Amino acid sequence: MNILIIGAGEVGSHLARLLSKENHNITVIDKDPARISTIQNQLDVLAIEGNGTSPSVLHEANIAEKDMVIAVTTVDEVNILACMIAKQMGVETKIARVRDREFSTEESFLNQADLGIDLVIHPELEATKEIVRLIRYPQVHEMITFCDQHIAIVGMRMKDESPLLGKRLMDIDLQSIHMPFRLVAINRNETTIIPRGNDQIQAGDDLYVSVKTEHLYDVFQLAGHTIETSHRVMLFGATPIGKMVAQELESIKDINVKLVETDRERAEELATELVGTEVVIGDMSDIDLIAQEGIIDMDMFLALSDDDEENIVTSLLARHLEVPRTITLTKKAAYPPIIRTIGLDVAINPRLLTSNAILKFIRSGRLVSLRHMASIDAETFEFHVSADSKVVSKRIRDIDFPEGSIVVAVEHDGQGVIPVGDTKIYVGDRIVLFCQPEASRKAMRLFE
Amino acid sequence: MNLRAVLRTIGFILIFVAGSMLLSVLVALIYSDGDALGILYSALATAAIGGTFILLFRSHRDLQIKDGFAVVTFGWLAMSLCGMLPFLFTGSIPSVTNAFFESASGFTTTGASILTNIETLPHGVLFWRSFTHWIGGMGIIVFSIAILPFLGIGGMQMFKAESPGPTADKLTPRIRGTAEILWVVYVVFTAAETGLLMLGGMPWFDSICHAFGTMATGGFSTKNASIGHYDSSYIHWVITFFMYIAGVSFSLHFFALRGNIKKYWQSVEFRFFSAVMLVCTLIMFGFQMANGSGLGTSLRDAAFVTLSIGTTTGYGTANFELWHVFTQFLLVMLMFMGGMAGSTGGGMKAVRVLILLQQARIELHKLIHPNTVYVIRLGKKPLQQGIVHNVLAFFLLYALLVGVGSLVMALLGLEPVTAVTSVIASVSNIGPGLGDVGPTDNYAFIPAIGKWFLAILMIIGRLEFFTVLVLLTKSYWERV
Repeated sequence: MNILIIGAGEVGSHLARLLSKENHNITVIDKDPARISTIQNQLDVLAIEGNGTSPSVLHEANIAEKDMVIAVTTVDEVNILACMIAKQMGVETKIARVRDREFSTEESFLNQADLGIDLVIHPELEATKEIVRLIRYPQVHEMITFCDQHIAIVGMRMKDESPLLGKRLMDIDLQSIHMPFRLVAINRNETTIIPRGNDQIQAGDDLYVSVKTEHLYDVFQLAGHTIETSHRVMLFGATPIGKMVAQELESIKDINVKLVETDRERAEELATELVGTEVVIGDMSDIDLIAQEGIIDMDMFLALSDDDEENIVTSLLARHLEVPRTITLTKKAAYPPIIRTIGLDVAINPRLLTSNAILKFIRSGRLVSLRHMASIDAETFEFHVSADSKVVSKRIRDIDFPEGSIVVAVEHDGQGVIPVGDTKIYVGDRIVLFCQPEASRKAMRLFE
Repeated sequence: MNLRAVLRTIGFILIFVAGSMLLSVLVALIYSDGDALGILYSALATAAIGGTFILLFRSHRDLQIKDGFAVVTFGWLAMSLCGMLPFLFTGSIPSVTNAFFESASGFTTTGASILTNIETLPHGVLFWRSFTHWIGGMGIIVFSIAILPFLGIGGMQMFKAESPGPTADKLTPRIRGTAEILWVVYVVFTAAETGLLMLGGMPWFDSICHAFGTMATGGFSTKNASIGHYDSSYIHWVITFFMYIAGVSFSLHFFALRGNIKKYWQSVEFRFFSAVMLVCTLIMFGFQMANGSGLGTSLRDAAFVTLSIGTTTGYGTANFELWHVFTQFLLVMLMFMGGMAGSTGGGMKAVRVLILLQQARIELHKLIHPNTVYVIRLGKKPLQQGIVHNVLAFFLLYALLVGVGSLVMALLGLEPVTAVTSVIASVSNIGPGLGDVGPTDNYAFIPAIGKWFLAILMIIGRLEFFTVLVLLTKSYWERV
């Protein structure tokens, strides 16, 4: 596919890297010559310096021959205008990052269709949704859903109370557990393994399990978690994400939110806008202050400021003060992998969420979607099974899946199923595959 | 450096070289001059070396920026070493020194020869000699990128390291697409020239070989008297025209073949290069007329010699050593410049000369208006300051290399004009120089050390200094 990416920031360059590795023809436009030369040196893409809405630049990028335009500059108006031009030039798929939510409200004078945008992505909104979900399910640190949200992969830590602890996989009596689930991966000491029959489950493991969403709480219990919800949340940072999360939480009963912000002006501004949230002016490093604000009693701490390092340090502080769960916002891609190692729970990376949202939307051949896991080095593929695929009419146990890959879910006739060895694959099914990086290429070949 | 990946890639390059030798075996079989077996053995030996590299070295890591330089430099060295095997194994050139010189001269499209009687060579070997030009002209790396799918980002670094000019044009989002386009354009023009030469009555074998030599701006002929062998104005003009084509950027040809002829004129470098060629032709023409030659002959010879030297091809018709000294020095000037960036020509490239002239003009202006902000432009496009610095460094290295090279040649006992022009002709990949290495002479008399030295200079010149010289820096070999 010929894809034009406008804006080579965190999201744009990440997408360019992923998509060019998947053999798409990528052209990137950015105003910043330094970014352009970095991209040119690191990726096999065509990088053009210039304004993404300038006719001559778009002409040079050959916009008329593109199948897709992804506009992800920091400026909403540029992204919208680029998509309008793309529409005019007959580009089939237009994707834009639009931060201002007013464009998507009913009062908006122009709606998505008027603007010619097929998918509007909103990194802060994606992050907010993810955070709220994690607040509702504090037991997990990562969750990806498939098949219309009927099936999920959840990542959670094994607790000492779990009945599975110390057991080998082959010894687990599946009959006594009245729900289908599949153990997808175990992350132990920073290495991810796809477990086999004689692998043992140990305390402190991070388990990745695929399960129907209706059985989520059963799985939590299996891992030794209690069915708890968060009631008292402390939120640090009066940023756009902080504000949106607070607004979302206000609408949920039983949750009290306390927002801490260093900057007086921003704190006051937010206090007027937020109704049910208590806004506190102060520094997170001021122990007396946060003790007074009751950090000891908090169920959850969210670090959502603009500064990655500050978010990490304040989360560690909250951890130190025995807050049971923390969520840490990091914009830099380098941080999420270390979050669990340094004893924190969840990293939220808007860039990854945004590119996942885009990748989910891009449909190329048999591959319906691809998403990267945040907490471990692995990805999930959603394949459409065509008649000429090698896996048709085979049982899962008979299919030669490459090492490092495992079937997570099968969607048959619109019904999501947690597969077992006997599950048969039919034409038209959708298969969700969990792959470690070295297995993904081989796995894709199965569905060609 | 990722030595395994580098050696593995070089292995693949050698397989291609072996494959192209098989083509020469085919030609040898057609003419059955008794050289088929020798070339076949060369192909097998080359394939064996390449195959060993591929089987022995595996690497999971991709090629990095650093590795690109090593692949290209050592790849060209390995290619030249294996390329000499057909000369050795068929007994056409018995000495290793001479065979390596001829092979390096071929791949780098220099066209300097140590052969005194070309016409006695068997056809297979003659074909191989011209074919090395053709492979080297567009670049073996560009060819590999077009064929090998796994050379993604590493391929781009190698493309940059091999392609001539200060910046490498990418015509498509993927480097592989660009490489394919360049080769297609190259093949199309080569086929066209072959056809036109055959129409002029040249035998098919000579037509193909000369087309290889022209499009690659090489200069190896199958005849002792080079193009002068053919007493046909038509043939001279066809070759003149295609030398000009080969000296022009292939990206521009690509756009033209797609119907966008305007691109030629929009390119400042093209206008500059064409103007220089035209003016020099007219000057030579004037001198030849004054010399008493006929109108047609003067124009034909003036154009042929200007383009032959100006595009760094090095074919010969008229012996310009008999011409006025002024024109001879004009030709030496042309030797420095060479073709356009992105052409198959050698030398400094027209665009670098253009940038240097502009920079010099700006420095002069600055003396009068020190506070003005100056921007160097190519057409409307402003140039990054980094590129200007790169060009200045390039020029310095070029001058330095010619200077040091001439000293070395002088040390070997060559007379001054020969010493200087033999080095320029090697570094700029031209072939003939002045003095004892003039258009009717050859390089056979140069001492063995001198031949090795010049052959290395040809490779350094073809890869435009930086790619090779960076390997000589200490920091390249340090781990961090």
